[in-house]
Amino acid sequence: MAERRDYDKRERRPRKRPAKLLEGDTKLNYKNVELLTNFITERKKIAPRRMTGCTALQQRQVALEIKKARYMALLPYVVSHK
Amino acid sequence: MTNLYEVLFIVPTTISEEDFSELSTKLKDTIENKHSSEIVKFEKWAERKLAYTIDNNQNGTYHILETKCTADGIKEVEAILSFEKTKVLRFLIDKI
Repeated sequence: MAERRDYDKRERRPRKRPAKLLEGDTKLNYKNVELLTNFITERKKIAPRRMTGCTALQQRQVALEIKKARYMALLPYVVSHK
Repeated sequence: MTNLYEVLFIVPTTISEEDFSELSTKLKDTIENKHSSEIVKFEKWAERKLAYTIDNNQNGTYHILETKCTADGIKEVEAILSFEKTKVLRFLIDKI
């Protein structure tokens, strides 16, 4: 039961940090739909920071741009079943 | 005081050529003649499937208008775009 654990409880498991949003020449913009799709989940929700590996500032910017893209029908608000 | 604005708007793919040219000349006329501002870019950006239907439209044509314009000018552009409900499905004005 509880004893069966293959890693030490005190030791934190290393978290995956995919750095999808690289600083530098990648321009975050609501028109860049391909980039933004990295930051939404399967159900088209905005992915949390623990999944995206964004900094707090980046996450706010990503969220804003996704909302703009949604308004312009570039990204869906919800998954539609048809 | 002028700012650089970017206007992205969607027109239905079914729009007739005259209707669109009427709209674009109206926009150009307002910016260039009435407010004597500069159009940096006015072009078709993409034709794509919309992520959800807007007024029963599945597809739409996206156009980009970039302009160095005054605040009053962009207000009038906004008024034109929101008035043309049948020709413009959505628009977004961004200050860049």
